[in-house]
Amino acid sequence: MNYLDKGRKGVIAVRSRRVVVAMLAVGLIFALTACMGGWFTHEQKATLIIGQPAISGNRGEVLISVTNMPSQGLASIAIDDQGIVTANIDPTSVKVEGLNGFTLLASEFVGIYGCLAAANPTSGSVGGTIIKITFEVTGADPTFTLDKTKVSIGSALNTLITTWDLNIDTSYYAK
Amino acid sequence: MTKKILIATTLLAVVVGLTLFAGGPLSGSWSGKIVINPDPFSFAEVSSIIAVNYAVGGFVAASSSEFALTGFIWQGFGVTGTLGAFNAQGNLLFGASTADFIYDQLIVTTSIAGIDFGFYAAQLSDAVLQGPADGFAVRLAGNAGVLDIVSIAEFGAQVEDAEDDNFNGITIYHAATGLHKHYVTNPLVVGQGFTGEKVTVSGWSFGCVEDIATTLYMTCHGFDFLRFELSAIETGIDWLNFDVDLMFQLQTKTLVVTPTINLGKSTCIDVYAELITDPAVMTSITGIGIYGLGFTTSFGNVTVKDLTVLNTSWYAITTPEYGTKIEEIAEALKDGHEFYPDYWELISIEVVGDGCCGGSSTFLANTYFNKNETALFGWGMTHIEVTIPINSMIFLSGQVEVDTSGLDHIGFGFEVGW
Repeated sequence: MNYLDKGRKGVIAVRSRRVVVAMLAVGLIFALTACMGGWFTHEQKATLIIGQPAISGNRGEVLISVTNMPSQGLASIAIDDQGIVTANIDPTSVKVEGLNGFTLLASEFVGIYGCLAAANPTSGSVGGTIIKITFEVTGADPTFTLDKTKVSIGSALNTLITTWDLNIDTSYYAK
Repeated sequence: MTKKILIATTLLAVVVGLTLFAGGPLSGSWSGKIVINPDPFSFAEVSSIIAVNYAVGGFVAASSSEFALTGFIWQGFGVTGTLGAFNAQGNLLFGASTADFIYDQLIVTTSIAGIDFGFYAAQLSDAVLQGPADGFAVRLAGNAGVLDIVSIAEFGAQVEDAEDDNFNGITIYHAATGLHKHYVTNPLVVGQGFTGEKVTVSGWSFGCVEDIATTLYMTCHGFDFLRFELSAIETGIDWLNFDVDLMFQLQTKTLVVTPTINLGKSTCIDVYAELITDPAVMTSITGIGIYGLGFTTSFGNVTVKDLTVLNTSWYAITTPEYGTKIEEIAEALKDGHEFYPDYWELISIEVVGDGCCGGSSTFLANTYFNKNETALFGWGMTHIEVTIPINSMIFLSGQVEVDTSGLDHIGFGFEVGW
């Protein structure tokens, strides 16, 4: 049974076409916007990561890692005097070790402050661990932080990496 | 004391009892390792991995729990199986120490009329520095005559390509311990709009060129790169070939010519050689550099191996876990292989024998030499590993490393299968 006259049918047909066209337009706009990556793409920033101290008994360990490093990766790092600030750590017990091709050039820990320099002579690290610091714990909740203004990092192309973030609280990162 | 004996007996009974599951739908393994630094006394490594597999209806479900010195790090679940013409694989990863969902992945593949179809989907949670992200990719692969054609349409995710350094999958790290997990599907964005298309055509060869591969990659921003790779171009000299990698990007053109030397198969001593080129003029070959020598022989159950690295600035010997071989340091770093940067020579003796109760026992002694040491013959370090089977499903292991400063570390491990 058909209760609609021809005029009414025409109105509904036109409205349906408009709805379809509108949906297609909205879909196209969303698709193009998604494609342009403007709203959705996360910026992959170069980041220097200080891992949470891993404590076992009176021994502790901190890993320094990097991710999203540009220009073929990070190949050198220099942390100036007082660039590392610690708490509840015995400075005389600190040992610094380069990881994954990084060689420790120099380090010094006195009182609550420390500094170090390390480099990778063969290649850069785009992501992964680069330095391990072990120490003896002298109190509860030992901490290990960096002053970003006293940190310089260089790339495998021998250029200074100037745009980067310091992260001290993430538990996980990806490469 | 009685309580300790009771607990130890119960644990032993459970472990031995688990081996009785062998042959049933439930299988798995439990491996553990403790490495101790004696001076000052500390645990260098404490790890435990429990894997449980349950097979039902063509599918195998797996659970993997990974522990480290600081606690419970990873809890992973996986499922693999076949349903009709479809092969499926699923992975789920949780960060146990923070009670976070980390990552999941679903891969479905099938082959119809000579065309391989693959669907790859993944999600990365916001607990990871680069998250949240999700996406999927559709892979089509087939042949047209002698040509191999692979098309990957990306909707927010990339698929690992072993032939292309720009597509490495995803490796997720636990920042405090450095422990990591690797997966082939790398989600890059939130939302699943079209983000890229990669088409690779390879298998084309003619005359003096073994293989020509062409890759076109388009993203949402338009043209990304076009690459031509010509492999093993013959020069008319038997031992000299070269590869050409020509890449066009929007504002750059890169040409890399890599000459390669082929010394043929050695019957006695392996010679590791490379062509030396002038960094300023890459097509100018200035010499042949021999950066290593190798020798391996077996008699009975005993294998003797010697490796010598002559250029320790660029090459190193990988650790036993990574095959004890000479590898370029840059390649080892890229592939995540551990190596000894300080040692230039290795003498290794490995003995494999039948265990008393099933399985086989192994003894490995690697002795390394260091140019900078003043010990006898420049001895640097000795690494000894022993694996002993209790029965065909239970293995105990031990390792000791001694260097010029004394005992470096001692370790114990076990593996139980069922």
